[in-house]
Amino acid sequence: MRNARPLSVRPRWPGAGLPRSPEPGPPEAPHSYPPRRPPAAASSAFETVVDPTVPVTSQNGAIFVVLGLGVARCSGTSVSAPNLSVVFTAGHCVHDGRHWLGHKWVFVPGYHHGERPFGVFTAKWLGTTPQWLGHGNENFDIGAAVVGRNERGQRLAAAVGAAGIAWGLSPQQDFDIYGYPVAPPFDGSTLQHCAQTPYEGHDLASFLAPGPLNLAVECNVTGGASGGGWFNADGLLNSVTTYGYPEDPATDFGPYFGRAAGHLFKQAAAIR
Amino acid sequence: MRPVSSFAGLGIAIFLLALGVAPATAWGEGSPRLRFKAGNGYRIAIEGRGPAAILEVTHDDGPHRRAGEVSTYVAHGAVSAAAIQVRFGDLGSVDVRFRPSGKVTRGAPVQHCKGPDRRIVRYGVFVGHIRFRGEGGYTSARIHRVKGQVLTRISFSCEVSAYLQRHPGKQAGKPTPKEAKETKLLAGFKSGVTATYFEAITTRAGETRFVAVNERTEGSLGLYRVAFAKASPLTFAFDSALSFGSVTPPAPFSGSASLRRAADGTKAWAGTLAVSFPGEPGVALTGAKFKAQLAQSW
Repeated sequence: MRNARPLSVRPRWPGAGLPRSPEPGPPEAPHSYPPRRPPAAASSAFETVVDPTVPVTSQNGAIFVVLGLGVARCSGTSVSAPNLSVVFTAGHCVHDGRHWLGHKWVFVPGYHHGERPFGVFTAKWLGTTPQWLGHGNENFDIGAAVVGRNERGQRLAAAVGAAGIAWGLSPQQDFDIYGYPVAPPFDGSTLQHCAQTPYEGHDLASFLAPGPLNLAVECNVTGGASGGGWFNADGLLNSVTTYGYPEDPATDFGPYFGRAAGHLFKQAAAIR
Repeated sequence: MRPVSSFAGLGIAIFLLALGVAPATAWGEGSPRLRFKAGNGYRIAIEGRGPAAILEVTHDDGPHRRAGEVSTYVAHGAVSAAAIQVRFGDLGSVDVRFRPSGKVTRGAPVQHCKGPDRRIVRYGVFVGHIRFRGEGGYTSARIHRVKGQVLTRISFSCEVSAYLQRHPGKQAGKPTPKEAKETKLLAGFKSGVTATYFEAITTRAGETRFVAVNERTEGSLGLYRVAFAKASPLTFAFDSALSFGSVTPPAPFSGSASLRRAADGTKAWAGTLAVSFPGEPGVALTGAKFKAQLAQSW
């Protein structure tokens, strides 16, 4: 699995569709699902999480997707839902623009140097936003999975807990960002963390597609961190890593969690 | 992903192509566009593209366009073939509706392509209000009625076919003279939601050109600025080993800069080079953040 390649930065191009909301400010009342996560000291450098199996941190995990020519990598988060089985990630980690990546898609929470302390959870349902699915619109590059039980018969949230999720919040927040970057200088074997990194603004490219403008934060991600969770000060999942630029490795971009993220969550949470 | 080796030109190309060559179906029944003269010798063009309205402020030195500057402001709004409603932050707003005059022109159909193959232009006037005041008041406009058009574009496939039919040499890979070489000096950086690029180029035809691009976002406003100049070849000097290059471009640039490559391969890009864009004068084109390189064609 160490030799897996990152399912990372998407080529960027404008999506298609009708005009949507002009600003990612709260177009609706904010929504959330139960909170979590203690605060950490601020840092925009990805720092290795020494023990990713401790409670709360263990809700982050590595995603492995078996493709025709090998194994691709992403990151994801166990999200609190009645079915105890929802993972949130990037849209391009579940659908590559042409195909669903569901042939063999597994979530390994607390993954550390090849160890799978909580077992492996295989996807039984994958979902994304209609805007990502139909148009490759990067402002909606959000994905979700509903996973089956692990080898021990446990549901995901019963094994590692689950993060709350929120949508419709102001983009002007500080975020804790997690992920399993594979591309150098990382090797995908450890969970990395940028602590309390503030919202910087929007990517100019985000203006070219409909929908709420995406968010930029300072965090030196590389490929493989795609799908990794962004948590606000209340510990709620409020975006996921979707892309960066090789000439600016210090900046990480993620979609604004608006109605589309909320709808996707409700869809996934309703799967039995 | 932008390759660093050609970031300036490619940056422009990506942004403008993304705005210009989006599939026709993406923009519904057509893109509204209008243009008018604004204060202090600037021209303003406004165009609706999908979810965004683009307001472009241009200044150049006349019909030969040897030098000029463009500031482009992009914001999401309510854009359709019939209307544009958008706010450009504190700089102004556009709220206009299209009244067709009835005049329509239809382009000749492009052969051998898929999708809409015929460009259609509907003429008329836009009525409502356009208010704009550039940063620091470098230009301003207040308009209630202006001529314009709604353009229905051809598909990307047809755009490519039309280009190849107009430039058959490109399709056949027509060779260019090998004796002359093209030399480029590239310098730039991207950091967060800001990026600045500079490119000096001496073409095979012996022309020397300079381009600077600055892009960033401020809240819900995207800003994309370009400045360019053509100049004497003496303004871009370099040695045959490409270990040294220096530039002294004319206005809207100022100052000079040089790139030196030491024996150990380390590069130093330094000097006083700066550029003035509409609304943003004196943008430094050197500094610790910049990465630079000098390259030459075979």
